[in-house]
Parts: sequence; structure tokens; C-alpha cells
Amino acid sequence: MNVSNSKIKSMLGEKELISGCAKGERTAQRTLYERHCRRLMAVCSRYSKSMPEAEDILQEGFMKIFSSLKTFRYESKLDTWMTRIMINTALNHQRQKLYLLPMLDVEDAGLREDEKISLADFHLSELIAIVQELPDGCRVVFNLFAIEGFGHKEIAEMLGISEGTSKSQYNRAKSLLRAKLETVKVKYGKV
Amino acid sequence: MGKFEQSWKEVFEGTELSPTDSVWANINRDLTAAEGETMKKRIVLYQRIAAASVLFALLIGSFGVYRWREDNSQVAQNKIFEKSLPSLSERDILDEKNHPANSTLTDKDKLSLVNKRIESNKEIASAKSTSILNSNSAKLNLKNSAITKSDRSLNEKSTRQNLNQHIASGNESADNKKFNSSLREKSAEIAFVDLGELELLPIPKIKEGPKMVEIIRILPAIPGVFMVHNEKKTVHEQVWASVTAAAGSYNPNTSSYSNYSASQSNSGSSSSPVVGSSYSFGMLAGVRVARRVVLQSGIQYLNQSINSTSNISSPNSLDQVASLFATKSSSSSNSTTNPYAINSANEFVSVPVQAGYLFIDRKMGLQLNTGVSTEFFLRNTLSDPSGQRQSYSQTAGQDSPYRSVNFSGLLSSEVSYKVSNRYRISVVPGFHYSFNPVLKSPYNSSGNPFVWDVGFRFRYIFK
Repeated sequence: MNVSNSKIKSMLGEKELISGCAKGERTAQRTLYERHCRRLMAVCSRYSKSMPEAEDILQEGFMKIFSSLKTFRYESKLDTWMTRIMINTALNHQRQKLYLLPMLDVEDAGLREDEKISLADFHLSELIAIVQELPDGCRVVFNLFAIEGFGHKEIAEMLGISEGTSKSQYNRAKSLLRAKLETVKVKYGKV
Repeated sequence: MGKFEQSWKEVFEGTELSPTDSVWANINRDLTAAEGETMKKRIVLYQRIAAASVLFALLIGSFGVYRWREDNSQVAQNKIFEKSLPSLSERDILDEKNHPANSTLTDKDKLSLVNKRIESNKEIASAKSTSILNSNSAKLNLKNSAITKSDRSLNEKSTRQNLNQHIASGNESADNKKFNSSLREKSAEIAFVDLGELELLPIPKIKEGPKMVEIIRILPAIPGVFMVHNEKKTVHEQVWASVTAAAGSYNPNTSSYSNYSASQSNSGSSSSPVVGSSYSFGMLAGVRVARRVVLQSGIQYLNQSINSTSNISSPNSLDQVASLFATKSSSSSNSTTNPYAINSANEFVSVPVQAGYLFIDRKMGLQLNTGVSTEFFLRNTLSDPSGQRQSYSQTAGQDSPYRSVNFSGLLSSEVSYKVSNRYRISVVPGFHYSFNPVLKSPYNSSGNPFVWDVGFRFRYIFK
């Protein structure tokens, strides 16, 4: 990254950064990107099927952030606001692909109390790859429920589906994740 | 939240992944394009304002010309009427020649003749007043007519009193009847009367009775064109100086820049800019050389800039981009990098010389200016808006790809308002067309840039 350190240091203040971005100053925009791109890239990668797709979402999301910064009112933390924009961008990106049909009679296949599989045994890239392999609907509901902490009712409203569909998609996601973790564990001999 | 969700949340909390450099390059490109769109919208706005102003100026100009011609035709018509009307003294001579009996009239008859002439003049003045009511200066003429009537009635009253003392009774002679009917016929044709001709009526020689002499002066209503001295409006504003500033769109006629554009795939390239922006400021001096013709000249600073993107690898400075530009290479083997924005700004010192025609020269003014300007090239500066690369400047000279001197045609309309006796402000929508490209011929095949702009001028009037 070619932005000089002096320039970055000169723009440490978040308000200065936001103000600069709102005015369209490229240095400020670059600095904001540098500060948040890695964290937001991790968010995007969980919602997408591949890394190039995650980068597309990241690019689109940052464009929305830069164009919407004028309206940022400091009612929430900048990190939270940016993450929410990125999630919305990811949802819009996936919306055409989402065919969330209710899946009935899917058992709760989450990690059981006595299960010996620990996520700590897996590398982050392996876990992201496992999540990316989930079907689109399952992946979105899993992220929104398990990672972001939304309830099924909120997810149903966000995605325009029924609460039951959200629950069944989530159960399906858990079941698939468990199976994939088992596969990886066996393949690489992880305990 | 169960153990499953908790464990996944912990895993992803605070995680970071590095995106590739191409993400920022694409964002940078999109931001540049978005800025271009914004600029484009502004330019469209400028163009619309300029077009609307020119249209407005043309409409006002057409209206002004129409009114001016209408006034002129009315004045010409009046002159024709005056020429066709013999003067009173001529009439007297003619009448005396035609009616030798008049020379032998008695005093009573002469007084009767005077009385009839008063009646005749009254009719003439009445006809004139009616005509004036149809003219532009209705209010002024009505006032004048009122004065005339009161003046006339006073004169007539006193004259009649004096004359009636001498004339008890009497019948008109046959000659007098003819004379009066002749006067009535003529007065029916008369629209206007020359004031000079009505000043003095012949004073009859009265042998008997009081010798009071009345100078009868009848003031007919006079058209506004004779009473309002038009020259008064153009006495001022012979010499002035003004500060001027303008902004607008700059169209480089893009073929001139496509020369340093190469194929997009594997060699250095720069996208062709569509349209840029322009601004100028300076000082002008003006002088009126004729009633409606002015000359203006001065000195101005011009800045014409455009934005484009390039992927030519030039990590620290834009000199490689400039060198590619200068060598007219269309298939450069320069290494490439992610697209980045470039701003190219040409700076000139301009000496415009313009002639202007004043369509309206009152408190509100309208003039059409046309002329040429000689533009001395100062420098071209290539800069990276993101600040990652150093700017590169190219001045004029033998080795420079830029022409040292350019010539341009100027066309503008100037709508002005005189805010006080010494100051006038004006809005100047204009068009500026270069007769030659900015680049010298080896580097350029075609493309004469042009500018649409809207200017503002603040004029100080010396005299």
C-alpha cells in the first residue's frame, strides 16, 4: 500500500477521516479502506462462495460506504455501521441466488456437549472454506443467526421468508457444518 | 445462544483477511468514474445555463431590435408628414397669391382671419394630440397636451376678448370662406405641426380701437421622441475597466488525447477524457467607439483541465506517462499497473480583443461580443489526485509537444445591469473555440478544443 505513513498519521482522527471521505479526498478514502478492509474482508468471505466473490462484495460495499459517509450521524460506532453496510451489500449480492425453501424434519445437528471436535483445532481458512461450501440460503442464515446474533424473526424479515424457513435453513446449515468438520477432521487427522 | 453458535462466533470474532491490491485499484477507478459523473452533471448544468442565457439574450436582442426599428419607422413617417405639409408662411404666400383679394381685406376681415386661424390651429393641435396618444410617450404627451390646452385656452380667451371689442358683427367674405375651407381641408390631413411654424401668427394692423398686440403661441403636444433627448443615455460609459471571472466546460475534442492511449490489454494506456472543466479570471478595459459599438481588451489567466485514468506504471512520478504522451507511442511496451486517475491541466495567459454591439444600452444592457484571443501557453501539469505520484509539468518551448501560442475565436453575450453611476455588473455566457490544437502537429492529428462558460464581470466606469 503506497499511502505514506506521514499521511496516515496525519489523519488519525476518525472524524477527520469521515470528513475527508465525505469531501471526496482520495487520501482519506484510502486510509479508511486500509484501516477496515481486512476485518470487512473476513465478513464478506463468510457470506460469499469464493474469495473473488468476497472481493466483489468488499468493493461494492466500500463504494456504498464512501457515498453514504455524508449521512453518517455518529449514532453508532463507525465499525458497526460499516459492517452493517457490508452485510447488507452481501445480502443484496446473494439475493438473486437465494431460494430459501423450508426444509422440514431436519434434526438439530449442532455440536453436542460431549462432542470432541473443537473449532480451535481448525485453521481459520479451513473454517471459512467450510462455511463457503454451504448452500447460499444456509450460509446466509447461519451467518446472520450464529455470528451476527440476529433472531429468526429478524432474519425472516430481512430476507422476506418465514420464521420457520429461517429455522430449518439454520438447522440444515448446522447439520452440514458438522458433517464437513468430521470430514476435515478425518482427512487431516485432527482430534 | 448455544455452545455451537458461541464457538463459531468466537472463531470469527476479530478475524481479518487481506484482500488483494486489485480491490483498492477497482475502488479507486470507480471513485474516479463517480467523480467524473458528478463533474459531467455540473458541466451539463453549466451548458444548460449558458444555452439558456444565450437564448434569453437573443430574445431580448430581437425584441430590442424590433422596438428600435419600430421607433425609427415612426420617426421617418413623421418626417414624411412634415415634408408634405407646407409651412404656414408658405401657405400665407400661396393664399395671398391665389386670393389677391386677401391683400385688400379690411381690418375686420383680417381679425376674422386671425380668429379662423386660431380655430384651424386648434384643430391641428387636436389632431396631433390624438396621434400622440397612440405613440409610446403617452403619459408625457398627455401632460403636454394638457398644458397646451390650458395655454391655448388662455391665449384664445384673451385674443377673443380683444378682438371682440373691435368686431361687433360681420359676415365672412367669399374669399374668407374659401380660405377657411382650404385650411380645414389641410388641417384634416395634418398629423403633426412644426412648433417653430406656430410661434408667431401675423399681427394684423388695426387702425381703430386698442392697439394691444397678442403674440399667440400655441403649443401642440410633442411626441416623446422629440422631447426626450436620447443622446443623454449614451453620454456616459465611454471608458471603463472590469474584472472578470468565468467557469465552464472544456472539451478537448478527445482525439488529441487518444494518441497517448494504447490498447487496454497489455501495454501502457490512458483512457480518453470526454470533457473537462475550465476557469479563467483577469482584467479587461473597454472603450465606446460608436454609439452602439464598443471595443474590449485585457489580460486573462486560463486553466483548462481534464480527468482520465491510466495504467502506465509510474510509481513515483508521472513523467513516464508524459514521455509516452510526448513520443506519440500507441503501442508502448511500458509496464502496466492498476488503473489510477490522472488530472491534466493546461494553463495559459490570454489576451482577448473583442468588439461588442449594444442592443440595449440603458440601465439594463445587452451586448453581443465577438473577437479573437491570443493565448500564450504557460504549462501542462499531470497530477495524480490520490497524491501517490509526483506531479509532472511541461512548459512551452522547442522541445515541448505544446504550442507556445494559440489563437481562439470568442463569442459571447453580455447581459448587464448598471448598479450605480460608476458600476455595472454583467453575466457573460460565452463560447471559446481554439483555431488550432493545443499540441504541435507531430503529436496531434486533429481536435480543436472549445469551451462553453458563464462569466461574471464587474465594471468600473471612468467616464
